[in-house]
Amino acid sequence: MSKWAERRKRVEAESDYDPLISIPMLESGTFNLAQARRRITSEFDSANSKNITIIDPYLLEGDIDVVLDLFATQPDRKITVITFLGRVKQDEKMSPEKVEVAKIIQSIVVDIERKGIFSSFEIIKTNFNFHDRFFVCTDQDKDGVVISSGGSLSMLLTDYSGLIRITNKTFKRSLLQFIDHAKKNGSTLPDFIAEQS
Amino acid sequence: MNIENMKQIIQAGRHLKDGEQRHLLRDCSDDISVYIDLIKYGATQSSHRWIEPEFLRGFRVLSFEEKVDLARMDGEHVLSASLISELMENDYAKWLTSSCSTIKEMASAIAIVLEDDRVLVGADNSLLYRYFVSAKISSGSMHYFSGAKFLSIALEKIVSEERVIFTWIVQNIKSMIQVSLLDPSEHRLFFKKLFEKYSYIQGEQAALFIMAASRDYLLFDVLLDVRLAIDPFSKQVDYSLWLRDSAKFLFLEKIRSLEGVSSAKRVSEFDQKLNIFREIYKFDRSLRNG
Repeated sequence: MSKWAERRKRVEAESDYDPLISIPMLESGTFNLAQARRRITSEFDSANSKNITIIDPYLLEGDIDVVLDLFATQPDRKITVITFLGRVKQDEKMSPEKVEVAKIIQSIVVDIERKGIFSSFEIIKTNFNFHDRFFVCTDQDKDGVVISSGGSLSMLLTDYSGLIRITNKTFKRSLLQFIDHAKKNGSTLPDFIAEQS
Repeated sequence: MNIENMKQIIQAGRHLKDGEQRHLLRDCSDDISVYIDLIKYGATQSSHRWIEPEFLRGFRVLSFEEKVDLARMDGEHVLSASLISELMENDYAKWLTSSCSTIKEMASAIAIVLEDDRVLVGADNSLLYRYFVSAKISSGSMHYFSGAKFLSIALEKIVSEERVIFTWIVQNIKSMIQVSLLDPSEHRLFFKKLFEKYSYIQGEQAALFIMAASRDYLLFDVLLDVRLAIDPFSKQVDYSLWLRDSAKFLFLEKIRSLEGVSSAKRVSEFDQKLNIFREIYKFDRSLRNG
């Protein structure tokens, strides 16, 4: 096969490649976690997304590091995280009490707000459990980016977890419905902490 | 439990509770960055629940020097987090000049996270850099960062070493330009590399380039040197790159429209290129929002 024929074949094969529909650890070349995560940043940056909702049932204090890595590239963003503060079971033990984690996360959120890193940063603790993880742009003036993530924030793109870009409008509407449902059936972190005290 | 026992326990990894989920720190280039992350992301507040209770009781009664010795042995930095937490409760500022480098770095990390500019007095370039990339600089502290040597080292490091160029780093650079402590004409290579590095020029980044080019219109000529894949062949073989680079090329048009830039040497070359670009892609819908 000539070099050009080879190239044509490769281009055809890659013609539907989308970095946001992928298992990055399986892609050719050396895997670099930071670079793989940057593809999410690039997508939201290129769309100039201002309102971003992160849906993840598990949230630990260290995950805020990942939120900053992904989205603290623009200052005037409103970030909302919807979480159940799920507890992970490990070797018959559970991760720490939700309220203890909630207090630590809230102190980090207060620091981020004080420094003006985002224009707002809100965490909603749902009163129901859920499973799937998403990054959703909720800007009203655009057909926002929606990405489904196989891994939670702490494991994002590790252990062969993948990303799937969602373009289906009906599903996007369902997600907006879910966000609304979570806000109606959840508490802000300070309210959750107050309720538990 | 004496200190020798405790060293053995750390070596065997038995000082930490089994099954506790801990946030794994990413690889950091220096200890102070590790300490900053421990504070910023709550490890200092969580460390007490990660350490075995008996070990923690023994650790708490040790002297600072002994704690430092043990903390240095702990590859997961949980003991460092515990020690930093103690410093935070005990007037960390008095340790900023400690003769023990670890304690001094821990106190400096606390000051950086709290944006306490006392740490900047007499700081070396390495500490100044850590502050510059980790905290927002107040107007009263900007003079600490205005040394020519510091700026050239810092800007080079930002563009080549930083994993993410966070919004506060860009804001710090903008603030320095605004008060004329950073002259863009002396750092054109930095802006060129930054333009190369960014996949997209949006919001804060766009504001930085516009501010820099407004102060130094010849920067436009340098940015034109960045190779952009905007030709039809690139569009065929790597559409996403073409789309990104086309948006960057069209951003240059915004710089072209700035007052003074029309005197730059390569303006006519750019205008010609822009006309050709528009002619070739006049029916391309993907560029309408570019």
